[in-house]
Amino acid sequence: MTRSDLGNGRRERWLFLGSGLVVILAVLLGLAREQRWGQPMVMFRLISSNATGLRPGQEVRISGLPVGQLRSLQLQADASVAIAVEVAQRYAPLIGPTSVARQGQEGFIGDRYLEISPDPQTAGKGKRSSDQRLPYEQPLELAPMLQQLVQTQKDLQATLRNTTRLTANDLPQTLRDARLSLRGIHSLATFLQRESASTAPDLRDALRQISRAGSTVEQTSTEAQQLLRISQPELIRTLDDIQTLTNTSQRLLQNLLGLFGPDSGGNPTQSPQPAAPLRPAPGGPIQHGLPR
Amino acid sequence: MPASLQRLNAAARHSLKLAERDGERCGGPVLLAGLVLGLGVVELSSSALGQTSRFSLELLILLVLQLMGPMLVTLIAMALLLPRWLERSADRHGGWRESLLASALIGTVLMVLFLMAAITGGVLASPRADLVGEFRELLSGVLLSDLLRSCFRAAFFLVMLCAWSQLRGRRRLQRDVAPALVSSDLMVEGLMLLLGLKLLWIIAIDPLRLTTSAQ
Repeated sequence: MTRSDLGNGRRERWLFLGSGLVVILAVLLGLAREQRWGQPMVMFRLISSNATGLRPGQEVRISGLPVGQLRSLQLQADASVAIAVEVAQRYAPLIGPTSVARQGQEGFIGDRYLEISPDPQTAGKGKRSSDQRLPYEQPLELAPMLQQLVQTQKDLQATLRNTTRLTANDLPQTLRDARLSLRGIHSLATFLQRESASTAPDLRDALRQISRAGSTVEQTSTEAQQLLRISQPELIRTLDDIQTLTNTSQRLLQNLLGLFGPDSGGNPTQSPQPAAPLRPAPGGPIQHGLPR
Repeated sequence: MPASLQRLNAAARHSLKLAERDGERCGGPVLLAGLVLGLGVVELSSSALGQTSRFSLELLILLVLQLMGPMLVTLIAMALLLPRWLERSADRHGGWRESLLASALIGTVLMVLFLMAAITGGVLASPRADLVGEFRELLSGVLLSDLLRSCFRAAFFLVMLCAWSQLRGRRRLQRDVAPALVSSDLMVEGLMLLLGLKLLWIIAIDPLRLTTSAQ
């Protein structure tokens, strides 16, 4: 196809260049939309000892929503890795002093992303510098965890082995003893049941008799109280008479002593003490004033 | 309008027409090749190698942008356009220069079409149901600098092949060598030149980087 061929009057359709232009524009628009071209971004820097699982272009999320991208990874002189993260400026106030970056993953085999814990700042809390540091939390390393898991499994197996050995030796003996004890308790219970069945009627009779005796005693007590209440004035009077008789006898004896002279014994200077009159204490038992 | 500007304008229009006609010839095969490559790589990676769909698609982009995209596009274009280049090399009106400009344009557009076809094929072959979401995630991982570098490489390769083919072809045709034989020889020479350029590029100019994004 030469210049003369091109000038043969054929009208161009511009199919290739037109469609190519459309595709290029669509790709550019897609890239601009997905990569947030023209959006003001704030750069954050993280320092990590290990960049496993991180790669440029990775999504940065806050509360599960994309807010930026991981820009670059750079190995430092001290073997640490400097990670540059871009976050859209309108989401930057969500990152504060207590924010921590860590790796996240969707499910077990899903895409990895960088999650920043939110720490919302108020609007006028100072101007944000263009390059800030964020603490980075290392993801859980799988190899040491697996080693620990293997060690734990070994310990668990040893414990299970010991438990099995213990139960194999001691448990049958314990069960045998327990069975014997239960059998003894059962026979004892049977014996007690039989004994109680045989003694229950006698016991019931005895209890009935005791109850009857108790009633009789109560009745007797009541009668005694009534008798005492009836005989109390008579008894007091009798005691007064006895006292009077005693005083009279004493006076008679003194007279007889005076009649037979002082040498016959006794002490005429000592006058006998009169006996205390017998008076019942109010509401109390009967007291007598005889010398003890 | 000065005469030089008029000539430049005419050359540009002529180059655009050439690019359109050559592009129409190459567009379909390149799109088909991209689609097949995308389907094949993702299918192989996700089913036979047991990789995740995301990893497979990233591998596909890496292959297309960094390893074989520009080379494959250039090779297809060369195979399809070589007869036309030979024809133009004999043109005494300087048509070969316009052919170089058209080749650069064709290489750039074909590379973008190839990338889109490969991504479409890969997304269609991936087991994930959310095709649009996957496409968007992929786009978020492709850097413009990588895309521009690939387009530039494809354009550069195609221009170099076009220039080589026209230069060598004109000399061979002037010696009355049969055009079929010239075409066959130039195909082999073009392939060798392409591989040499690729080697030079990845060793000296732009070494391979095993990521889909810029560092």
